[in-house]
Amino acid sequence: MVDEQERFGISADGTTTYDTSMSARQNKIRIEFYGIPRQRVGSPGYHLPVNQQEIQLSELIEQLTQRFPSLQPDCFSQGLISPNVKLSLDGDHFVTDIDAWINIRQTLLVMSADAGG
Amino acid sequence: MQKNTCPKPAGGYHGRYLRIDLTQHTSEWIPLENGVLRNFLGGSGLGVHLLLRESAADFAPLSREAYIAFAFSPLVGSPLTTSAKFAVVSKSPLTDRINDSLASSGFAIAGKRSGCDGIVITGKAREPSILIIDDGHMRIEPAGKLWGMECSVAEDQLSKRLGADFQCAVIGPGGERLVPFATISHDGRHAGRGGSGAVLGAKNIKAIAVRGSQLCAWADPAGLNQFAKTLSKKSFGPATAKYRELGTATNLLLFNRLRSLPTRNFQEGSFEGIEQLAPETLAQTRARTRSYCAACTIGCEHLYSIAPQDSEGPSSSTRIEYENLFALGPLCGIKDSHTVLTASKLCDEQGLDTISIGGTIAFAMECVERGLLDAPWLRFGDGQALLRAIRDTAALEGIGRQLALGSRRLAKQLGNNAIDFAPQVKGLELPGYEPRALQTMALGFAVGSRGADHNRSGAYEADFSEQVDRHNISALSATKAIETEDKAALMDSLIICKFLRGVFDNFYAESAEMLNLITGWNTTAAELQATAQRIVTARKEFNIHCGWRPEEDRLPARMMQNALNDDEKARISPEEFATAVKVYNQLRGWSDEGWLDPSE
Ligand code: SF4
Repeated sequence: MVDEQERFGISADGTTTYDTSMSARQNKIRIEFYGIPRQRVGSPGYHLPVNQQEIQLSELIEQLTQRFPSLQPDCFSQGLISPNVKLSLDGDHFVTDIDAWINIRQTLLVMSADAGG
Repeated sequence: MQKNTCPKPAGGYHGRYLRIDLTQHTSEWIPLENGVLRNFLGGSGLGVHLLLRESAADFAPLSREAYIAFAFSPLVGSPLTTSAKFAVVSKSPLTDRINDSLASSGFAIAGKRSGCDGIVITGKAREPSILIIDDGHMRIEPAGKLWGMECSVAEDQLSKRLGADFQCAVIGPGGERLVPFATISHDGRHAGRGGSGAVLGAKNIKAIAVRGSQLCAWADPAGLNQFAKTLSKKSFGPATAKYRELGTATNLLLFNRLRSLPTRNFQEGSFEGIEQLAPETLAQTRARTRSYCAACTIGCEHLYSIAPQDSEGPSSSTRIEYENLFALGPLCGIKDSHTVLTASKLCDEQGLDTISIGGTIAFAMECVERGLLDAPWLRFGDGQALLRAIRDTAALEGIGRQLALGSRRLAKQLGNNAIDFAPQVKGLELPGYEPRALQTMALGFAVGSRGADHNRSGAYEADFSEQVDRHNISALSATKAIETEDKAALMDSLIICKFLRGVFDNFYAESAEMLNLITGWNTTAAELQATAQRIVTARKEFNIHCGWRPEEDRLPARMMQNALNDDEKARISPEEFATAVKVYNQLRGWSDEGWLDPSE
């Protein structure tokens, strides 16, 4: 887990140590995991390499599940978002539309759906 | 004792409650008609009905005449997972408004087997006592040496004294000393919020012990068993994985990331030392075990050893929830995990609500910073100060006498507009959801009948969705606040655990189905929606009897005036907020201000 953190420069709380400069992020989308998604992946985050400046969420999910098969089926199933997770862009907007576009300046948060306690 | 029962109670019910007068040393059975049970179900709903019936709003919460109800539910004792729960309902000594708090496990099952759907207690025992209900027969015994004991020790001792087939709910030293946020404990679970422990303490009751043999019939046992099997199977699935694998404490990192983790008395929404407290970190250094309430297949309780594994000597363990970590950690600026776990254990043993004591101490720390309170040692980030403050509160010593007032009363005592930053609504300290960052939840807090509360309003669910903008409250927030408040009212009255909520495809329809299998009624989803609304309205009615005023339905002034220090986007528009409260009241069918009669 520590290796992963260092490798992707994301601290345990998902907020620090990450180099947010454009050069560091070029053609990568930053993804952070919370709750069960983090358990399944075994890491707080990942930088998904992309070919262009933006990517459709459906494509992102496909690549992410290829990289982390353990996200299936609890988090993503057959290319769809499971009801057990929620996705947020930059922590501000929640997304459910898999046709939505995500650009490399954005961070995608993948979290357990049930936020309460 | 007069025997009295409803002629033919529905399945899952006894059709009566046991009314105990401690002053008179008497008990009587009071029938509960099927219509009443169908209207209020059990748990929180039945409890508030019983209090309204007894005109409990008329009495000061710690007076001899005050009432406290232990309400069971039609599901208790059934094979339905997470159904072993009971509600404790009274006028709160912290808020002077309705308080219903829930706890779980064997007490619910044994209490219902004593032959009643609820136990209503009034009066006051002559000396510190144990109230024993043995198969429906009431007796009172001196508490003796149990008085003064910590919660788990008292429960253990009482169990040894009476026999293991008795189930006991106890108060700690906090309840004995009438701290208005004292808890009632059973089997490591707590009816935590609002001070029901002080209500029992004021009645000189250290513990209630129940056992019984009276079972309720079910309308369709085969159908119920099948339903229960399916529900249990679903409860092993991904919808509850978060609770099984991590527990609620896993919220810490996410809430911190979203700047919705209340920090240093709600001045910031994120905390620099949070990773030290996260269960993901604790699990690397501490032994962890899981615990289940009786009749639960989820097992959300995660207990951690207090000291790290490499430390010397034996270490006890404590349950870790999001709320106790938040309240005793970031809210007080404490990042040392050993201190926070020790503080949590201390609260559980002394019988103090972790959210209220954490909120009150954090408020006092800010008062010290501002020169309003003369306790220079009580500083944000000082773990030893936190522990001392908790001990002093439970003992009512030193500054503890002031902390034991709760944040609202302490603010009023201090003056100088301290009330503006006291973290409370209606006197109940806010749980760990920063209202400015979660503005539908902010509305849920403001209008909640028991005060700021995440268990009676799940409005944060909307904030964590595409449906609303969590930084901008709107009229839609009112609809969402009502939906989640109604759902919570039904769950708390049936009663089933809220951590099961993700497994239902159609919550109201499936609830109607399980209720019908037990009772033999022909309830529908629509009827249960109306029932939930009736229960919410009954709570409001109780509050109005207590003297509720519309100006109570608001947040502390600081939250309405200032953005979070670390998130400029987290700012509430007072105008939009007022509109949302008005729309909430209108959608409830009440007046714009919130009176039950829309013409008022
Ligand atoms: S999920 Fe947790 S709180 Fe709910 S019944 Fe099970 S153990 Fe108790």
